[in-house]
Amino acid sequence: MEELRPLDDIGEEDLVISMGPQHPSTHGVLRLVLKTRGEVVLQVTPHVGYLHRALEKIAERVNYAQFMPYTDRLDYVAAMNCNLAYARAVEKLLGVEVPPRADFIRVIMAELNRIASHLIFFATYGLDLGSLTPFFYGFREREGILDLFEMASGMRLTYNYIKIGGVWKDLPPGFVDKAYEFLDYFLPRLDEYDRILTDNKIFIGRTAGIGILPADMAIEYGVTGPNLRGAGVAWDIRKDEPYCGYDQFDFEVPVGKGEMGKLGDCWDRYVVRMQEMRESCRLIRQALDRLPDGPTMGRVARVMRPKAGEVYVRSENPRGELGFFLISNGSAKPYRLKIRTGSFTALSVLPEIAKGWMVADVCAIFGSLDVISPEVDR
Amino acid sequence: MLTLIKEIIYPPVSGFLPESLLLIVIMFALAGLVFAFILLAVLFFTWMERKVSAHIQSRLGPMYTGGWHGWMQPLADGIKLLTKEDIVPAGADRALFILAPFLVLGSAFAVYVALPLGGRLFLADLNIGIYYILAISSLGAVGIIMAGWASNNKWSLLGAMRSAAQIVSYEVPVALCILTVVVIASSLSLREIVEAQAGGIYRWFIFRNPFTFLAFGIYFLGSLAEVNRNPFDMSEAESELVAGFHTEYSGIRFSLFFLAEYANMLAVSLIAAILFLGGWYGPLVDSEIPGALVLILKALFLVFVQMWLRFTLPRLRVDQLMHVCWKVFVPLAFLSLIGASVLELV
Amino acid sequence: MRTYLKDICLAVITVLQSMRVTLHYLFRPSITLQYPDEKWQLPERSRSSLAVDLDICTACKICQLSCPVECISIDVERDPQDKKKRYMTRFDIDFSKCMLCSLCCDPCPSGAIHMTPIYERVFSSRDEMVSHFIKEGERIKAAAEK
Repeated sequence: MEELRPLDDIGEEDLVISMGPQHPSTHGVLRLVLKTRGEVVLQVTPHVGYLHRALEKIAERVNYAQFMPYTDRLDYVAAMNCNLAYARAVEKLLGVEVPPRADFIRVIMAELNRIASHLIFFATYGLDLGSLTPFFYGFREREGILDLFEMASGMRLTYNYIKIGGVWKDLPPGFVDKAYEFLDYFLPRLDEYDRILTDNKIFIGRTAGIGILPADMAIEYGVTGPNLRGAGVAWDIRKDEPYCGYDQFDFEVPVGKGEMGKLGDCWDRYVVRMQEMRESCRLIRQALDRLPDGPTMGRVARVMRPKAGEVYVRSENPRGELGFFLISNGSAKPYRLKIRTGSFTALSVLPEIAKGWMVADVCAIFGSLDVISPEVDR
Repeated sequence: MLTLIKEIIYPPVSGFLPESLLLIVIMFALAGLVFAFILLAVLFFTWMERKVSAHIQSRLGPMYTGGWHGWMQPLADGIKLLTKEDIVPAGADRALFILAPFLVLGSAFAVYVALPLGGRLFLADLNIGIYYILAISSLGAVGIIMAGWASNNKWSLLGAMRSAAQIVSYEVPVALCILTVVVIASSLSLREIVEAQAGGIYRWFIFRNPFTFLAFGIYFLGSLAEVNRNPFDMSEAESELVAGFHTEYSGIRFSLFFLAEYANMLAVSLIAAILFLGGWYGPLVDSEIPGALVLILKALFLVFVQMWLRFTLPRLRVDQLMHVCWKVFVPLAFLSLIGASVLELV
Repeated sequence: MRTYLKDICLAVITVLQSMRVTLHYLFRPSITLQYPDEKWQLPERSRSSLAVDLDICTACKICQLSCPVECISIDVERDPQDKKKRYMTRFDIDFSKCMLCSLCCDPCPSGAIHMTPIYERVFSSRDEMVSHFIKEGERIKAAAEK
């Protein structure tokens, strides 16, 4: 760790600045120690662990079903996706079949949460770069999604809705109509967001060609999700290892093409997420159109005792892959649960791609990686 | 204006006070008047900024304090700032820390001395009016550097350095645009520049020829950079430097910086209205007080556009700021100067 | 030279486009609800607080076992004369721990413990956050199990 040097070293030596742990643009509690020469950054050292809550240790203490609320708090912005990832891992261990209606409902919830998560990315990215209004527009749209979630599950942020074997309760009456209403309201807004931020020359000047993450470096560091797709690699678990019936739907996976500046820069990662929001809208519409009838919960014992064994299951979260490695020893509580998150690998690649850029660019690069601290620290 | 007041006030009190003392009293009173005017304007602008930003962002803004749409909110904020604890950080250069806000406020305040609000409503009719304004407004940069250095804070220092570079660079295109107007009006005096625009909206300098329109655009954007407003507010970039050079200031000292920023905004808008938008001449307006109101309305519209820009655009990085200044604004300003001068000869 | 001029034109055009979007919203009504004068209508499944209806509670303690953070504490004792009658002497819910996950409400056989949409709760001290549903010294008879 670099020592913080006294102030009289300015001018000749390098400046060591500590961004955080309380800082307006480190999303969550994170400390970045920057070593700069003038405005140019020479080295970035992230210090993590401020939000460590020992979730993996808690998993060894509670039942499989009781751990579900904790997965909400893993990445609270995309809680449905985290629920889904954990549920899939335990279902694979138990060998449980999920009824088709539950699968479709899961897809609807997961994609709605993907839109909500990308809206937060859009909002906070604009705020990091100085544009104060997209923040409010993003959160205003998100309120529509949270209202839908509140109708279905009762909570607005930590849902505990997707359970092992299916979903908690069926969709309430009026949900489908309200969801269609939301989709009709939301899609034109995306064009507005393009006008206010994506096409804006100042925004392009701040993000295009900056913080380039080459594809081979991304794969080496294990970066996944929109960060990887922004680097040009077309890898999406929903397409390549489909789950929950994603292979029945017709959607595309947006990949960065380096339209403004170089391939793998901040603009590419940003535009991949904006296009993913459109694809999610398509997915939700298809799922709502074809929603089958039937039960919403498979046959699962109240206290689950899976056979001894281990399983690793990964799902496509808005921030990357969420992988659960589960070792069971036949009892009602997991023997070991290891969580692999997309934000952790994205943060690990930050010191590499932020070298040589200016202090203002560090905010742009870090914002484009869409890191959430609770996912990093668990 | 001084002679006006002297003629009215002097005879009745000539028995009590000697003339020099009376002059001093009058000068302080006028300074107080200008300060009160600036204070009222700033109070209104804070409210307007919050309301404009709120409605752009689908919110409501202040609604409670004072009843109707929270019109007393800036007053409440001012009282809160005045009653805060006065903190001077340990290790800060005490004298410079205390002096810096006064310097910034002083330079903003001194601009108003030469700004005429009407045919005879001015404090000093300088025949080098606009030249004096350019010179004195640069003093604010010194105050900002002092504030950044004296705070003993790396972030403030970065902000102050950026700000100094920015203000000094943007003087050049702004001065060139002003020169365009001066060439057309053949005078540096603000009053004569407005007199040259009398007689209808088509005589306003902004519509005179496409080069003066360009000059207005560059002046407006350059003046945004002068007052450190978005998209040129790198030095107070909230998401990176917390608050830039005034991070360590709180209470009254912070309110002085705040006052200076809004006073600068108003001054720059008033100058733009005087130079390009016809000053106190408007449709159906002949006499003094309506003329002043028309001028203030024009300046208010320009301030509204500044706020509108603030809440729409992301901010430019420092080197991009410099690029825009030296590689875009300066050549275009030269172009407008030469073009306008050539068209004047024709 | 061409890219230079094109950049300037693009910059001006895109800035004006962005300004048009914000101007559009300047004149639209805002979506703020001024609380407490205007309140949001909560849907029926809303999980804002936990409550228990002791009249129908069968004292099976399934909620206590299901809770992942162990925030429910129930004390049950049998009547010394009639072995079939059971009494509860303590039913506490610690709201400083409860995370409103509703894992206790799902297995409850009678629906005694349930989620309520009451979100305007204020506690002035840590001790107040523990809700005692049975007062000190009282006994509540457990309802018969169906």
